[in-house]
Amino acid sequence: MSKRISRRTLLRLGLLGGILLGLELVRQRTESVGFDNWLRWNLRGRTAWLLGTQSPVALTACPTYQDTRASLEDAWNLLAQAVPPLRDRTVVVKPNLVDVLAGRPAHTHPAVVDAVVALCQARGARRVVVADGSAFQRDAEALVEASGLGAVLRQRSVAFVDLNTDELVDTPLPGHYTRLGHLLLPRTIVEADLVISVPKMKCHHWAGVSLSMKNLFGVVPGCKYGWPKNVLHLHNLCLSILELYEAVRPGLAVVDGVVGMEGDGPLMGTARPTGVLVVGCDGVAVDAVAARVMGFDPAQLSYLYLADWVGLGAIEARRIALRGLSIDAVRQSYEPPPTVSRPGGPAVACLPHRVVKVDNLA
Amino acid sequence: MSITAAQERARRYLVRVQDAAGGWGYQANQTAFVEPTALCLLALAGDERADALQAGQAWLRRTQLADGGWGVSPADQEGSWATAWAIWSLASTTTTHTEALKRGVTWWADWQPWVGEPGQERDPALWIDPTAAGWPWSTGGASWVEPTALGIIALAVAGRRASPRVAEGVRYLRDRTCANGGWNVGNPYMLGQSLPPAIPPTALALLALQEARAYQTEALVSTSLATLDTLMQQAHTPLNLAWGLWAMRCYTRRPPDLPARLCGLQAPDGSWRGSPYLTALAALALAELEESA
Repeated sequence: MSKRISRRTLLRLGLLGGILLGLELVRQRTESVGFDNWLRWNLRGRTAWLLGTQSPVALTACPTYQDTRASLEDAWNLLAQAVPPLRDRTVVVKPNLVDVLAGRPAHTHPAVVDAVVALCQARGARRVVVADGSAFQRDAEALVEASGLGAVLRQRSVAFVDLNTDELVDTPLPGHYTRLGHLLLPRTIVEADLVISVPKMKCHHWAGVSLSMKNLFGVVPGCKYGWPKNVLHLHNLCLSILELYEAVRPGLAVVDGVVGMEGDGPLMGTARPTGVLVVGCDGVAVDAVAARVMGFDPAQLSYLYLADWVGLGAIEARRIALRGLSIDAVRQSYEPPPTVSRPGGPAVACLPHRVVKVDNLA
Repeated sequence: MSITAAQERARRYLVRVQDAAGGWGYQANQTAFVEPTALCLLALAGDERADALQAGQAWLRRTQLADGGWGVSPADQEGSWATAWAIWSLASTTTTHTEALKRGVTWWADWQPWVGEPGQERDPALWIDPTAAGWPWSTGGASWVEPTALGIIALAVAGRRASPRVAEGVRYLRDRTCANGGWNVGNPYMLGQSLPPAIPPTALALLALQEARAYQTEALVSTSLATLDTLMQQAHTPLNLAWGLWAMRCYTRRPPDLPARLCGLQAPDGSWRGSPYLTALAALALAELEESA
């Protein structure tokens, strides 16, 4: 006996087939990163975008390094309630000490580190240490002294921890942006109550810019991953930046934009007096503001575009509550880093390209 | 204070801060790592305090991974560049751990870096030959100067000087030499600019070239020694002073002030900066001095 399929049943079957086909397409498209990761990033990113919550960022004038303490205090007051608590906390101040080269402002100026340490101590931090792990030099003591940081540490009675040879803690990476899965990270970083990223404002020939998020490469211990931290480049530079940011979650970023570096950063660029500090708790937003001050569009910088897309922070101007100076008042036109086509090299190029396809991840 | 007395105090310090399991950390009271433990054993070699030496060798043997390699510490369960340190140390200080040494050497000789395709042109950004194969820091990585220099030394002291890996390692070091001699991490150029050398990789590469006894490296050694000489004029930290002094003494260079500058930084407890790693390094630099004097 034959039974006719009704029009309604046919429509239902078509709808079901469409849904299944759609799910299969999404599964295939997200296979390289995992559907659950893709869903998590999308939900977090789209929710943040829809809610439009603003991240406070302070942009303050700092014409010379003699002005850093006052400038940082200004920024702190502008941020008001949007600052992390410091009282009774163990704070790790993480400058960029990648190398010290004559005439090349590649490292965070010690006056900025001094201002951050002083602020933490004045607000009752239980313990403050300054820590970094250079990507190019094994002799941390030589870098600390040559940079002028040694005098600051002695004056403030603060210890320096070489993160390249610190004790190791096996740390799962919650972001799942790369295939690294876990990293052996320094105990000083893992056990800190608060990590403050204090980078130099500079160009970077692979990442476009090196600011508070890229600065976290210095927490990866050289004694395990070597000098330089090449493992992060092999796993895609931009995604490694996101991976480390989500794993370390610095609670505050203070960008040394008093004298920045334009051109061939992170080492061989040239000085660019800019006269600002950029301060905030959302490292993505801080980096976006700093990039705009440098004259770059954050949406054209792969790691920042991706960080916003996965919901790690905000780069859109409407989602950043800028306090203090306007960007137009201090905007520069940094010479971009040189780029070169590298067969087999990093998958993500520098300015002005960006990664937009989900299936490019991992 | 004499160099002999400084060395003796350093050795006493090393024995005092050895952990209960037999290893040493980069800092005193830190969990043990392979690199400082290997260096401490080299520094204590020939010392009459045989207990410390044997305990350290046993620690190395216990921390060897099942595949024959060593992680950088017991927290690291993946074979790494630290394997070269373990081989160097065991091959130089004991005749009783031959099986562990043999497995380590096999692992190290088989451990390959990422390299470019045969015939691949020079990298346009870095101006390096991507086909030159040294050793990486970790599995899957590219070659770098320090693990390559260590790799050459490890195979040479383990009796594998004729291995093709040693010759290829020397080719890698030659390719990664900085513009005016010496070495940095392994990037002599970046986007058309030459990058400067540093003391530790320069010293280690020079030690490796001496161990390799490769042909036609005299000019490379001579230029790099001159570069090291220049770099040492600005050296003032134990790490840089010790590495530089160790390499220069191995080539019978005798800058008169270097030993005194290094000894002047020794702490009353016999250490350099409270670090077993730096203390062992300094003791080795000074030991070479005594031998060559």
